[in-house]
Amino acid sequence: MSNSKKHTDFEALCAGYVLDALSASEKETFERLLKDASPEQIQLFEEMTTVKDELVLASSPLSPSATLEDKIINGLTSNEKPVKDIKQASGLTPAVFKIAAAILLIVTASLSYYSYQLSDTLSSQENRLTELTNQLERQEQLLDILSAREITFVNMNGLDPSPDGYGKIIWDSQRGRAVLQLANLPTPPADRDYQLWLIKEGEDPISAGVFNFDQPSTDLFFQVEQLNEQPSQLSNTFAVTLEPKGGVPQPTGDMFLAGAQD
Amino acid sequence: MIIFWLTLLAAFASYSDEEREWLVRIKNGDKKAMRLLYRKYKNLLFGMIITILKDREEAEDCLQEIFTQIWEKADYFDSEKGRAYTFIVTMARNKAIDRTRSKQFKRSEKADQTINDFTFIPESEENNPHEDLEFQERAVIVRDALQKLPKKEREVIFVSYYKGLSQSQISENMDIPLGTVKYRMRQGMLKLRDYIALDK
Repeated sequence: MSNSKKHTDFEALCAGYVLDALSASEKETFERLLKDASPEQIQLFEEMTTVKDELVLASSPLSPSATLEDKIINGLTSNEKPVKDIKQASGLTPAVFKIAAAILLIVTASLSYYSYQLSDTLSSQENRLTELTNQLERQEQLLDILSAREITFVNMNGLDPSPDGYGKIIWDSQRGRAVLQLANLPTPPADRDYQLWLIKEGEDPISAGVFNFDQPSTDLFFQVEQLNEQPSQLSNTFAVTLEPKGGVPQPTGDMFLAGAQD
Repeated sequence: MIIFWLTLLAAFASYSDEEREWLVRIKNGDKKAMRLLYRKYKNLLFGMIITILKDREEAEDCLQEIFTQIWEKADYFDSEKGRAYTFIVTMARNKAIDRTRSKQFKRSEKADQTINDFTFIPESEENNPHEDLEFQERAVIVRDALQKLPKKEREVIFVSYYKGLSQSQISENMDIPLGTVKYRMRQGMLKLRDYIALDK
């Protein structure tokens, strides 16, 4: 399995794992990936776990009955815990337990292997379905934006790092949404993202989000959600630069695409 | 980006030390420490449990079970492996979700599996500002971040967290392809991570 596919699988499973929403076989797959995870993947896992921990804050805090505190505290028993002697409890020797454990381990390993084979097939079919569903969602998003009353259309041309590259912005400024197309750009390195900028006449560039992909293509479409800006009456230019992963407040990297509104 | 997360974890560390100390005392049978922990977490956890169980009496029973379990399982908390906050909140959520799976709960009216309420409730009631101060600031950031998510992604994360449904159960209940559920969950969580980072 290529590193790129492993990273995609890791990312795809990570959210489901932290939310405890995966099937048993997917959990096993993720736990295997986690054992060999890169530092970036471990960071992603920790960040997603932190996000999940914060979800409890989304609900409204409420006070329980005032009497509940005493009821709970008074109901607590001593914290001493008795130690059980398994042999005394069951009448069986440790050797019997060891043999039973070994048999159980063999059976479990066999079942796990069979289950893994099945889940691999299922997983690749699920991946294909996900791919098709994602394509359909993107097309729906594009149609939704195109249906807006007023849209701004900006062509971007390739610059020195990638002269064959090109892109388009289809911008529904009324609803603060846009679709970005990128074509013929090289795949960004693992520690980088492409970042889209809106540059209004006389103002600092405004970030419109970061974008990434595994394989170069001519039909890469992305929904731009961080574009709650009104167009300038003077001029509006869009640019794409290569930046550190996650983006930066102002452009620092090479510019790959640029184009101004006609 | 890394700096943001380090900063967030450092912020947790300050009140995390206090809670860690309480859990150590609770392991040794200190009921005063148990009261301190209860007073700090009761509103936060009760709010979450009511969102899951939708019944006050049921939620109070559950809250009692949770703190009894914290008392009995304080031994399992390992400060080297995680924060006290995570230990408590995870235990509480799991307890509340388990309760929804009990036969008794399923027979009750509250066992309505219709997924039609995706709102995270922003209005608070009986809020004790002194008690909740440490959580309030984080709560505003989290709620804002959730509101910024596309509705479809927010729905998937809500039912997963507050109803304890797996991706395949969400797919079945909401009648959307499993791949779409996975995609929305992943996108939603990645965006929440980014939004929370930007707001910090």
